[in-house]
Amino acid sequence: MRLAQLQRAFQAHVLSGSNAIGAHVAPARGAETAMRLAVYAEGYDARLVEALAVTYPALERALGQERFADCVRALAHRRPSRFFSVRRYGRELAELLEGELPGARGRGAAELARFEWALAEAFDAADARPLAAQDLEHIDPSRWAGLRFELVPGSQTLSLATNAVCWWQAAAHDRAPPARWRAGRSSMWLIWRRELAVYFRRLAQEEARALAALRSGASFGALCAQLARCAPAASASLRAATLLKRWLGEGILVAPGAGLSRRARLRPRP
Amino acid sequence: MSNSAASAVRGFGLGLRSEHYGAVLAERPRIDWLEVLSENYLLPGGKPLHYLERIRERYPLVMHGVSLSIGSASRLDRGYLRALKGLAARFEPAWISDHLCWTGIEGINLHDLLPLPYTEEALRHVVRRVREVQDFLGRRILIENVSSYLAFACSQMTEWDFLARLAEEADCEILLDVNNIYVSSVNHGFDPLAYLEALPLQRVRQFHLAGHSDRGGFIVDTHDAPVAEPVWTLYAAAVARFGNVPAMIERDARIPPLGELVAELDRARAVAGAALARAA
Repeated sequence: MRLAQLQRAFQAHVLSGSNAIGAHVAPARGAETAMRLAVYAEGYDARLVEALAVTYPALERALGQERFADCVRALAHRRPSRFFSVRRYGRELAELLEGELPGARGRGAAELARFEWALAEAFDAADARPLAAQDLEHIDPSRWAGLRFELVPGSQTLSLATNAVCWWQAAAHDRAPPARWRAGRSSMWLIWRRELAVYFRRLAQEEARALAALRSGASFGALCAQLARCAPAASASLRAATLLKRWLGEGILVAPGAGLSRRARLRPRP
Repeated sequence: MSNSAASAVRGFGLGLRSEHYGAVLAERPRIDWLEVLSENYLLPGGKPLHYLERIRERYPLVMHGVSLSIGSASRLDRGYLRALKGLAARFEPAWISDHLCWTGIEGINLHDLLPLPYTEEALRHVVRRVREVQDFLGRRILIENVSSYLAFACSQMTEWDFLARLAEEADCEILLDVNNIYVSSVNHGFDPLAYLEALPLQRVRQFHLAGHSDRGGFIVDTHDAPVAEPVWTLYAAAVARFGNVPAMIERDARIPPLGELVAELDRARAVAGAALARAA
Protein backbone atom coordinates (compact mmCIF):
# COMPACT_ATOMS: atom_id res chain seq x y z
CA MET A 1 0.00 0.00 0.00
CA ARG A 2 1.33 3.43 -0.92
CA LEU A 3 2.14 5.93 1.83
CA ALA A 4 -0.64 8.36 0.90
CA GLN A 5 -3.30 5.64 0.79
CA LEU A 6 -2.16 4.23 4.11
CA GLN A 7 -2.25 7.63 5.78
CA ARG A 8 -5.65 8.46 4.29
CA ALA A 9 -7.05 5.19 5.67
CA PHE A 10 -5.44 5.76 9.07
CA GLN A 11 -6.79 9.30 9.30
CA ALA A 12 -10.25 8.09 8.28
CA HIS A 13 -10.12 5.60 11.13
CA VAL A 14 -9.29 8.29 13.66
CA LEU A 15 -11.89 10.74 12.35
CA SER A 16 -14.76 8.49 11.39
CA GLY A 17 -14.03 4.99 12.69
CA SER A 18 -13.53 3.51 9.22
CA ASN A 19 -11.90 0.07 9.53
CA ALA A 20 -10.05 -0.13 6.22
CA ILE A 21 -6.71 0.49 7.93
CA GLY A 22 -7.10 -2.65 10.10
CA ALA A 23 -6.09 -4.98 7.26
CA HIS A 24 -2.73 -3.18 6.98
CA VAL A 25 -1.73 -3.44 10.62
CA ALA A 26 0.79 -6.18 11.31
CA PRO A 27 -0.58 -8.85 13.64
CA ALA A 28 1.30 -8.89 16.93
CA ARG A 29 1.29 -10.61 20.28
CA GLY A 30 -0.03 -8.88 23.36
CA ALA A 31 -2.93 -6.88 21.97
CA GLU A 32 -5.33 -7.12 19.08
CA THR A 33 -5.29 -4.71 16.17
CA ALA A 34 -8.52 -3.02 17.29
CA MET A 35 -6.98 -2.26 20.69
CA ARG A 36 -3.85 -0.88 19.08
CA LEU A 37 -5.83 1.36 16.75
CA ALA A 38 -7.97 2.51 19.67
CA VAL A 39 -4.88 4.02 21.33
CA TYR A 40 -4.73 6.50 18.44
CA ALA A 41 -8.47 7.09 18.01
CA GLU A 42 -9.09 7.55 21.73
CA GLY A 43 -5.89 9.55 22.10
CA TYR A 44 -7.12 11.97 19.43
CA ASP A 45 -10.35 12.63 21.29
CA ALA A 46 -8.67 12.89 24.68
CA ARG A 47 -5.98 15.25 23.42
CA LEU A 48 -8.44 17.71 21.91
CA VAL A 49 -10.76 17.58 24.92
CA GLU A 50 -7.77 18.37 27.12
CA ALA A 51 -6.58 21.18 24.84
CA LEU A 52 -9.99 22.83 24.55
CA ALA A 53 -10.55 22.54 28.30
CA VAL A 54 -7.58 24.90 28.60
CA THR A 55 -9.19 27.37 26.17
CA TYR A 56 -12.70 26.98 27.62
CA PRO A 57 -12.35 26.32 31.38
CA ALA A 58 -15.58 28.11 32.35
CA LEU A 59 -17.55 26.43 29.58
CA GLU A 60 -16.32 23.03 30.75
CA ARG A 61 -17.44 23.85 34.24
CA ALA A 62 -20.80 25.20 33.08
CA LEU A 63 -21.62 22.20 30.92
CA GLY A 64 -20.00 19.57 33.11
CA GLN A 65 -16.98 17.53 32.03
CA GLU A 66 -18.96 14.84 30.23
CA ARG A 67 -21.18 17.14 28.18
CA PHE A 68 -18.22 19.36 27.37
CA ALA A 69 -16.18 16.36 26.22
CA ASP A 70 -19.10 15.15 24.05
CA CYS A 71 -19.28 18.53 22.34
CA VAL A 72 -15.52 18.72 21.75
CA ARG A 73 -15.48 15.18 20.36
CA ALA A 74 -18.31 16.11 17.99
CA LEU A 75 -16.32 19.14 16.83
CA ALA A 76 -13.08 17.15 16.51
CA HIS A 77 -14.77 14.67 14.17
CA ARG A 78 -16.83 17.14 12.12
CA ARG A 79 -14.31 19.97 11.89
CA PRO A 80 -10.81 18.60 12.57
CA SER A 81 -7.91 20.95 13.17
CA ARG A 82 -6.09 22.56 10.27
CA PHE A 83 -3.72 24.48 12.53
CA PHE A 84 -0.12 23.67 13.36
CA SER A 85 -0.74 24.76 16.93
CA VAL A 86 -3.58 23.20 18.90
CA ARG A 87 -3.93 26.56 20.70
CA ARG A 88 -5.56 27.95 17.58
CA TYR A 89 -8.09 25.14 17.26
CA GLY A 90 -11.66 25.26 18.56
CA ARG A 91 -13.14 28.56 17.47
CA GLU A 92 -16.12 26.77 15.89
CA LEU A 93 -17.17 25.26 19.19
CA ALA A 94 -19.63 28.14 19.76
CA GLU A 95 -21.39 27.41 16.48
CA LEU A 96 -21.61 23.71 17.31
CA LEU A 97 -23.09 24.43 20.75
CA GLU A 98 -25.88 26.52 19.25
CA GLY A 99 -26.86 23.53 17.15
CA GLU A 100 -26.35 20.87 19.81
CA LEU A 101 -27.97 22.39 22.87
CA PRO A 102 -31.57 23.64 22.82
CA GLY A 103 -32.93 27.04 23.87
CA ALA A 104 -31.30 29.51 26.23
CA ARG A 105 -28.75 26.91 27.32
CA GLY A 106 -27.47 26.55 23.76
CA ARG A 107 -27.38 30.30 23.18
CA GLY A 108 -25.75 30.94 26.54
CA ALA A 109 -23.14 28.21 26.15
CA ALA A 110 -22.33 29.49 22.66
CA GLU A 111 -21.89 33.01 24.01
CA LEU A 112 -19.72 31.75 26.85
CA ALA A 113 -17.58 29.96 24.23
CA ARG A 114 -17.27 33.17 22.17
CA PHE A 115 -16.35 35.10 25.29
CA GLU A 116 -13.64 32.62 26.33
CA TRP A 117 -12.32 32.46 22.77
CA ALA A 118 -11.99 36.26 22.77
CA LEU A 119 -10.10 36.09 26.09
CA ALA A 120 -7.74 33.48 24.60
CA GLU A 121 -7.15 35.59 21.50
CA ALA A 122 -6.36 38.63 23.62
CA PHE A 123 -3.99 36.50 25.71
CA ASP A 124 -1.95 35.51 22.63
CA ALA A 125 -2.26 38.80 20.74
CA ALA A 126 0.73 40.82 19.58
CA ASP A 127 2.44 42.93 22.23
CA ALA A 128 1.96 46.68 22.09
CA ARG A 129 2.77 49.57 24.37
CA PRO A 130 -0.45 51.30 25.35
CA LEU A 131 -0.84 54.93 24.41
CA ALA A 132 -0.27 57.18 27.46
CA ALA A 133 -1.42 60.73 28.14
CA GLN A 134 2.14 62.02 27.74
CA ASP A 135 2.24 60.66 24.18
CA LEU A 136 -0.42 63.27 23.37
CA GLU A 137 1.09 66.22 25.24
CA HIS A 138 2.97 67.64 22.29
CA ILE A 139 0.28 67.19 19.66
CA ASP A 140 -0.51 70.56 18.13
CA PRO A 141 -4.15 71.49 18.92
CA SER A 142 -4.81 72.01 15.21
CA ARG A 143 -4.09 68.31 14.57
CA TRP A 144 -6.44 66.87 17.18
CA ALA A 145 -9.51 66.68 14.97
CA GLY A 146 -7.58 64.59 12.44
CA LEU A 147 -6.04 62.14 14.89
CA ARG A 148 -7.02 58.51 14.50
CA PHE A 149 -6.56 56.09 17.32
CA GLU A 150 -6.14 52.33 17.16
CA LEU A 151 -7.11 49.75 19.73
CA VAL A 152 -4.51 47.37 21.14
CA PRO A 153 -4.07 44.12 19.19
CA GLY A 154 -6.47 41.37 20.25
CA SER A 155 -9.07 43.75 21.65
CA GLN A 156 -12.62 42.78 20.74
CA THR A 157 -16.13 44.03 21.28
CA LEU A 158 -18.70 41.28 21.76
CA SER A 159 -22.47 41.57 21.79
CA LEU A 160 -23.90 39.13 24.35
CA ALA A 161 -27.60 38.56 24.94
CA THR A 162 -27.40 35.99 27.74
CA ASN A 163 -25.92 35.81 31.23
CA ALA A 164 -22.80 34.04 29.84
CA VAL A 165 -20.47 36.46 31.64
CA CYS A 166 -22.12 35.57 35.00
CA TRP A 167 -21.36 31.91 34.26
CA TRP A 168 -17.77 32.84 33.46
CA GLN A 169 -17.41 34.86 36.66
CA ALA A 170 -18.82 32.04 38.76
CA ALA A 171 -16.31 29.60 37.28
CA ALA A 172 -13.37 32.00 37.49
CA HIS A 173 -14.04 32.85 41.14
CA ASP A 174 -15.05 29.33 42.12
CA ARG A 175 -18.56 30.43 43.07
CA ALA A 176 -21.91 28.70 42.63
CA PRO A 177 -23.13 29.08 39.04
CA PRO A 178 -26.28 31.09 38.19
CA ALA A 179 -29.53 29.18 38.69
CA ARG A 180 -30.17 29.01 34.94
CA TRP A 181 -29.17 30.35 31.53
CA ARG A 182 -31.09 33.52 30.76
CA ALA A 183 -31.51 35.33 27.48
CA GLY A 184 -32.49 38.99 27.33
CA ARG A 185 -31.46 42.27 25.73
CA SER A 186 -28.02 42.25 24.26
CA SER A 187 -25.19 44.16 25.86
CA MET A 188 -21.76 45.05 24.55
CA TRP A 189 -18.52 43.87 26.17
CA LEU A 190 -14.97 45.01 25.56
CA ILE A 191 -12.08 42.55 25.95
CA TRP A 192 -8.44 43.63 25.80
CA ARG A 193 -5.01 42.84 27.16
CA ARG A 194 -2.72 45.23 29.00
CA GLU A 195 0.79 43.88 29.44
CA LEU A 196 0.15 40.25 30.43
CA ALA A 197 -3.31 40.60 31.97
CA VAL A 198 -6.57 40.25 30.03
CA TYR A 199 -9.43 42.57 31.04
CA PHE A 200 -13.08 42.92 30.11
CA ARG A 201 -15.91 45.23 30.97
CA ARG A 202 -19.42 46.07 29.89
CA LEU A 203 -19.83 49.03 27.54
CA ALA A 204 -22.55 51.66 27.54
CA GLN A 205 -24.15 52.04 24.11
CA GLU A 206 -22.49 55.40 23.50
CA GLU A 207 -19.02 54.05 24.23
CA ALA A 208 -19.62 50.91 22.16
CA ARG A 209 -20.56 53.11 19.21
CA ALA A 210 -17.49 55.28 19.79
CA LEU A 211 -15.16 52.27 19.83
CA ALA A 212 -16.81 50.89 16.70
CA ALA A 213 -16.14 54.24 15.02
CA LEU A 214 -12.47 54.12 16.05
CA ARG A 215 -12.16 50.58 14.69
CA SER A 216 -13.57 51.71 11.37
CA GLY A 217 -10.94 54.45 11.17
CA ALA A 218 -12.93 57.48 12.32
CA SER A 219 -10.86 60.50 13.36
CA PHE A 220 -11.18 62.11 16.78
CA GLY A 221 -13.12 64.92 15.10
CA ALA A 222 -15.55 62.44 13.57
CA LEU A 223 -15.91 60.80 16.96
CA CYS A 224 -16.86 64.15 18.51
CA ALA A 225 -19.36 64.71 15.69
CA GLN A 226 -20.87 61.28 16.32
CA LEU A 227 -21.24 62.04 20.03
CA ALA A 228 -22.77 65.44 19.19
CA ARG A 229 -25.62 63.73 17.39
CA CYS A 230 -26.84 62.52 20.80
CA ALA A 231 -25.81 65.53 22.92
CA PRO A 232 -25.10 69.27 22.61
CA ALA A 233 -21.78 70.02 20.89
CA ALA A 234 -20.08 71.40 24.01
CA SER A 235 -20.90 68.36 26.12
CA ALA A 236 -19.99 66.05 23.22
CA SER A 237 -16.40 67.36 23.25
CA LEU A 238 -16.27 66.89 27.00
CA ARG A 239 -17.69 63.38 26.60
CA ALA A 240 -15.10 62.54 23.93
CA ALA A 241 -12.33 63.79 26.21
CA THR A 242 -13.73 61.73 29.10
CA LEU A 243 -13.83 58.57 26.98
CA LEU A 244 -10.32 59.20 25.70
CA LYS A 245 -9.03 59.68 29.24
CA ARG A 246 -10.60 56.41 30.31
CA TRP A 247 -9.19 54.52 27.33
CA LEU A 248 -5.74 55.93 28.05
CA GLY A 249 -6.01 54.94 31.69
CA GLU A 250 -7.08 51.41 30.82
CA GLY A 251 -4.47 50.87 28.13
CA ILE A 252 -7.00 50.28 25.40
CA LEU A 253 -5.28 52.41 22.77
CA VAL A 254 -1.97 51.55 21.21
CA ALA A 255 1.09 53.78 21.36
CA PRO A 256 3.54 54.55 18.64
CA GLY A 257 6.77 52.97 19.77
CA ALA A 258 9.48 50.45 19.23
CA GLY A 259 8.77 48.49 16.11
CA LEU A 260 5.48 50.25 15.49
CA SER A 261 5.09 52.94 12.92
CA ARG A 262 3.85 56.19 14.39
CA ARG A 263 1.85 56.75 11.24
CA ALA A 264 0.32 53.30 11.51
CA ARG A 265 -0.76 53.62 15.10
CA LEU A 266 -1.60 57.26 15.62
CA ARG A 267 -2.28 58.71 12.24
CA PRO A 268 -2.87 62.43 11.76
CA ARG A 269 -5.03 63.25 8.76
CA PRO A 270 -2.76 63.93 5.76
CA MET B 1 25.62 22.26 7.39
CA SER B 2 26.02 22.68 11.15
CA ASN B 3 24.30 23.90 14.26
CA SER B 4 26.55 26.80 15.17
CA ALA B 5 25.37 27.26 18.77
CA ALA B 6 25.23 23.53 19.51
CA SER B 7 28.27 23.59 21.78
CA ALA B 8 26.32 25.80 24.23
CA VAL B 9 24.11 22.86 25.14
CA ARG B 10 25.84 20.36 27.39
CA GLY B 11 24.75 18.34 30.38
CA PHE B 12 21.20 17.97 31.64
CA GLY B 13 18.09 19.90 30.68
CA LEU B 14 14.37 20.07 31.24
CA GLY B 15 11.38 20.63 29.03
CA LEU B 16 10.18 24.14 29.88
CA ARG B 17 6.50 24.18 30.87
CA SER B 18 4.39 27.25 31.63
CA GLU B 19 3.77 25.99 35.18
CA HIS B 20 7.47 26.55 35.89
CA TYR B 21 8.08 29.97 34.28
CA GLY B 22 8.10 31.77 37.62
CA ALA B 23 10.17 29.15 39.43
CA VAL B 24 12.80 28.96 36.69
CA LEU B 25 13.32 32.72 36.89
CA ALA B 26 13.10 33.03 40.67
CA GLU B 27 14.97 29.93 41.80
CA ARG B 28 17.67 29.70 39.14
CA PRO B 29 17.57 25.89 39.46
CA ARG B 30 20.48 23.66 38.52
CA ILE B 31 19.39 23.03 34.95
CA ASP B 32 22.02 23.26 32.23
CA TRP B 33 19.62 24.06 29.38
CA LEU B 34 15.95 24.05 28.45
CA GLU B 35 13.92 22.61 25.63
CA VAL B 36 10.77 24.45 24.50
CA LEU B 37 7.86 23.14 22.47
CA SER B 38 8.10 25.33 19.38
CA GLU B 39 4.34 25.47 18.72
CA ASN B 40 3.69 27.00 22.16
CA TYR B 41 5.68 30.06 21.08
CA LEU B 42 4.53 30.47 17.49
CA LEU B 43 2.26 33.26 18.65
CA PRO B 44 1.96 36.98 17.93
CA GLY B 45 2.76 37.89 21.55
CA GLY B 46 1.68 37.44 25.15
CA LYS B 47 2.82 35.58 28.23
CA PRO B 48 4.73 32.60 26.77
CA LEU B 49 6.96 34.80 24.63
CA HIS B 50 7.35 37.32 27.46
CA TYR B 51 8.71 34.61 29.77
CA LEU B 52 10.78 32.94 27.10
CA GLU B 53 12.60 36.21 26.41
CA ARG B 54 13.64 36.40 30.04
CA ILE B 55 14.47 32.73 30.42
CA ARG B 56 16.55 32.78 27.23
CA GLU B 57 18.78 35.45 28.80
CA ARG B 58 19.77 32.88 31.43
CA TYR B 59 19.67 29.45 29.79
CA PRO B 60 20.74 27.88 26.49
CA LEU B 61 17.72 26.67 24.57
CA VAL B 62 16.72 24.04 22.04
CA MET B 63 13.45 24.03 20.08
CA HIS B 64 11.36 20.88 19.80
CA GLY B 65 8.40 20.71 17.43
CA VAL B 66 5.37 18.46 17.06
CA SER B 67 3.82 19.68 13.79
CA LEU B 68 6.52 19.31 11.15
CA SER B 69 4.79 16.11 9.99
CA ILE B 70 7.94 15.07 8.19
CA GLY B 71 6.44 11.75 7.14
CA SER B 72 3.14 13.04 5.79
CA ALA B 73 2.37 12.28 2.15
CA SER B 74 1.00 15.82 1.86
CA ARG B 75 3.19 18.81 1.11
CA LEU B 76 5.26 20.46 3.84
CA ASP B 77 3.51 23.39 5.50
CA ARG B 78 5.59 26.35 4.34
CA GLY B 79 3.74 28.70 6.69
CA TYR B 80 4.78 26.54 9.61
CA LEU B 81 8.37 26.44 8.41
CA ARG B 82 8.48 30.22 8.01
CA ALA B 83 7.12 30.68 11.53
CA LEU B 84 9.62 28.16 12.89
CA LYS B 85 12.50 29.91 11.17
CA GLY B 86 11.34 33.25 12.56
CA LEU B 87 11.16 31.86 16.09
CA ALA B 88 14.63 30.36 15.72
CA ALA B 89 16.02 33.70 14.51
CA ARG B 90 14.58 35.38 17.60
CA PHE B 91 15.62 32.85 20.25
CA GLU B 92 18.74 31.31 18.68
CA PRO B 93 18.25 27.71 19.80
CA ALA B 94 21.26 25.40 19.69
CA TRP B 95 19.18 23.11 17.49
CA ILE B 96 15.67 22.34 16.25
CA SER B 97 14.08 18.91 16.47
CA ASP B 98 10.87 17.14 15.53
CA HIS B 99 9.61 13.59 15.22
CA LEU B 100 9.87 10.66 12.85
CA CYS B 101 6.14 10.54 12.24
CA TRP B 102 3.26 12.17 10.43
CA THR B 103 0.51 14.21 12.10
CA GLY B 104 -2.14 14.34 9.38
CA ILE B 105 -2.77 14.43 5.68
CA GLU B 106 -4.54 16.79 3.27
CA GLY B 107 -4.28 19.81 5.55
CA ILE B 108 -5.65 18.16 8.69
CA ASN B 109 -3.61 18.03 11.87
CA LEU B 110 -4.58 15.22 14.24
CA HIS B 111 -2.12 16.63 16.78
CA ASP B 112 -0.61 13.20 17.33
CA LEU B 113 2.71 11.58 16.46
CA LEU B 114 1.48 8.86 14.11
CA PRO B 115 3.54 5.84 13.04
CA LEU B 116 5.09 5.45 9.61
CA PRO B 117 5.40 2.28 7.57
CA TYR B 118 9.13 1.50 7.33
CA THR B 119 9.27 1.04 3.57
CA GLU B 120 11.78 2.10 0.93
CA GLU B 121 9.13 4.48 -0.45
CA ALA B 122 8.62 6.13 2.95
CA LEU B 123 12.37 6.37 3.50
CA ARG B 124 12.96 8.11 0.16
CA HIS B 125 10.07 10.46 0.93
CA VAL B 126 11.29 11.37 4.43
CA VAL B 127 14.91 11.77 3.32
CA ARG B 128 13.79 14.21 0.62
CA ARG B 129 11.69 16.20 3.06
CA VAL B 130 14.33 16.36 5.79
CA ARG B 131 16.73 17.78 3.21
CA GLU B 132 14.10 20.28 2.10
CA VAL B 133 13.50 21.41 5.70
CA GLN B 134 17.22 21.66 6.40
CA ASP B 135 17.76 23.70 3.26
CA PHE B 136 14.92 26.04 4.23
CA LEU B 137 16.07 26.47 7.83
CA GLY B 138 19.73 26.62 6.87
CA ARG B 139 20.69 24.14 9.56
CA ARG B 140 20.65 20.45 10.38
CA ILE B 141 17.62 19.24 12.29
CA LEU B 142 17.28 16.42 14.82
CA ILE B 143 14.73 13.69 14.22
CA GLU B 144 13.28 11.85 17.20
CA ASN B 145 12.00 8.27 17.35
CA VAL B 146 8.39 8.10 18.59
CA SER B 147 6.52 5.59 20.73
CA SER B 148 4.21 3.41 18.66
CA TYR B 149 1.38 1.04 19.38
CA LEU B 150 1.12 -0.74 16.04
CA ALA B 151 3.27 -1.66 13.06
CA PHE B 152 2.29 -1.88 9.42
CA ALA B 153 2.32 -5.14 7.48
CA CYS B 154 4.00 -3.43 4.52
CA SER B 155 7.12 -2.40 6.49
CA GLN B 156 10.32 -3.63 4.87
CA MET B 157 12.82 -2.75 7.59
CA THR B 158 13.03 -2.14 11.32
CA GLU B 159 12.44 1.31 12.79
CA TRP B 160 16.10 1.52 13.88
CA ASP B 161 17.37 0.68 10.38
CA PHE B 162 14.99 3.28 8.96
CA LEU B 163 16.21 5.93 11.41
CA ALA B 164 19.89 5.06 10.88
CA ARG B 165 19.53 5.25 7.09
CA LEU B 166 17.51 8.47 7.34
CA ALA B 167 20.22 10.14 9.43
CA GLU B 168 22.96 9.15 6.99
CA GLU B 169 21.09 9.76 3.74
CA ALA B 170 19.47 13.07 4.78
CA ASP B 171 22.51 14.19 6.79
CA CYS B 172 20.41 14.95 9.84
CA GLU B 173 20.96 14.19 13.50
CA ILE B 174 19.05 12.04 15.95
CA LEU B 175 17.18 12.94 19.10
CA LEU B 176 17.05 9.56 20.80
CA ASP B 177 14.06 9.19 23.10
CA VAL B 178 15.07 6.41 25.45
CA ASN B 179 11.58 6.07 26.90
CA ASN B 180 10.10 5.77 23.40
CA ILE B 181 12.50 2.96 22.55
CA TYR B 182 11.47 1.17 25.72
CA VAL B 183 7.73 1.74 25.15
CA SER B 184 7.89 0.49 21.56
CA SER B 185 10.11 -2.46 22.52
CA VAL B 186 7.42 -3.66 24.94
CA ASN B 187 4.56 -2.95 22.55
CA HIS B 188 6.24 -4.69 19.60
CA GLY B 189 8.42 -7.22 21.39
CA PHE B 190 11.89 -6.22 20.20
CA ASP B 191 15.21 -5.94 22.01
CA PRO B 192 15.81 -2.25 22.90
CA LEU B 193 19.58 -2.82 22.96
CA ALA B 194 19.45 -3.86 19.30
CA TYR B 195 17.93 -0.43 18.60
CA LEU B 196 20.85 1.32 20.29
CA GLU B 197 23.42 -0.85 18.53
CA ALA B 198 22.04 -0.02 15.08
CA LEU B 199 22.31 3.76 15.30
CA PRO B 200 25.40 5.61 14.04
CA LEU B 201 27.45 6.94 16.96
CA GLN B 202 28.11 10.42 15.57
CA ARG B 203 24.50 11.22 14.74
CA VAL B 204 22.95 11.06 18.21
CA ARG B 205 22.85 14.63 19.50
CA GLN B 206 20.30 14.55 22.34
CA PHE B 207 18.47 12.11 24.65
CA HIS B 208 14.92 12.38 25.92
CA LEU B 209 13.79 10.73 29.15
CA ALA B 210 10.16 10.54 30.29
CA GLY B 211 7.61 8.47 32.14
CA HIS B 212 4.97 6.16 30.70
CA SER B 213 1.78 4.37 31.76
CA ASP B 214 0.84 0.70 31.75
CA ARG B 215 -2.51 0.18 30.05
CA GLY B 216 -2.58 -3.62 30.41
CA GLY B 217 -1.06 -5.36 27.40
CA PHE B 218 0.41 -2.05 26.34
CA ILE B 219 2.47 0.76 27.66
CA VAL B 220 1.66 4.29 26.53
CA ASP B 221 4.01 7.26 26.33
CA THR B 222 2.10 9.59 28.62
CA HIS B 223 4.84 11.82 30.09
CA ASP B 224 2.80 11.92 33.30
CA ALA B 225 5.09 10.09 35.71
CA PRO B 226 8.73 9.86 36.77
CA VAL B 227 11.13 7.99 34.51
CA ALA B 228 10.58 4.24 35.05
CA GLU B 229 13.32 1.89 36.28
CA PRO B 230 13.74 -0.05 33.00
CA VAL B 231 14.16 3.27 31.19
CA TRP B 232 16.95 4.31 33.57
CA THR B 233 18.66 0.99 32.80
CA LEU B 234 18.29 1.57 29.07
CA TYR B 235 19.54 5.14 29.50
CA ALA B 236 22.71 3.82 31.14
CA ALA B 237 23.21 1.53 28.12
CA ALA B 238 22.63 4.49 25.77
CA VAL B 239 25.22 6.60 27.61
CA ALA B 240 27.69 3.72 27.50
CA ARG B 241 27.25 3.53 23.72
CA PHE B 242 26.84 7.18 22.68
CA GLY B 243 28.73 8.96 25.46
CA ASN B 244 27.86 12.08 27.39
CA VAL B 245 25.12 13.28 25.06
CA PRO B 246 22.92 16.15 26.40
CA ALA B 247 19.89 14.58 28.09
CA MET B 248 16.61 16.00 29.35
CA ILE B 249 13.41 15.01 31.10
CA GLU B 250 9.98 15.68 29.60
CA ARG B 251 6.85 15.99 31.74
CA ASP B 252 3.59 17.05 30.13
CA ALA B 253 0.88 15.94 32.55
CA ARG B 254 0.58 15.77 36.34
CA ILE B 255 3.37 18.31 36.33
CA PRO B 256 5.08 18.39 39.76
CA PRO B 257 6.85 21.33 41.40
CA LEU B 258 10.07 22.23 39.61
CA GLY B 259 12.19 20.91 42.47
CA GLU B 260 10.97 17.36 41.88
CA LEU B 261 12.05 17.46 38.25
CA VAL B 262 15.40 18.99 39.18
CA ALA B 263 15.90 16.11 41.64
CA GLU B 264 15.01 13.63 38.90
CA LEU B 265 17.57 15.35 36.70
CA ASP B 266 20.16 14.72 39.42
CA ARG B 267 19.39 11.04 39.07
CA ALA B 268 20.04 11.32 35.32
CA ARG B 269 23.40 12.91 36.16
CA ALA B 270 24.20 10.05 38.53
CA VAL B 271 23.13 7.31 36.09
CA ALA B 272 25.13 8.89 33.26
CA GLY B 273 28.17 9.39 35.52
CA ALA B 274 28.13 5.77 36.62
CA ALA B 275 27.66 4.52 33.06
CA LEU B 276 30.57 6.62 31.80
CA ALA B 277 32.77 5.43 34.69
CA ARG B 278 31.96 1.80 33.86
CA ALA B 279 32.67 2.37 30.18
CA ALA B 280 36.02 4.08 30.84
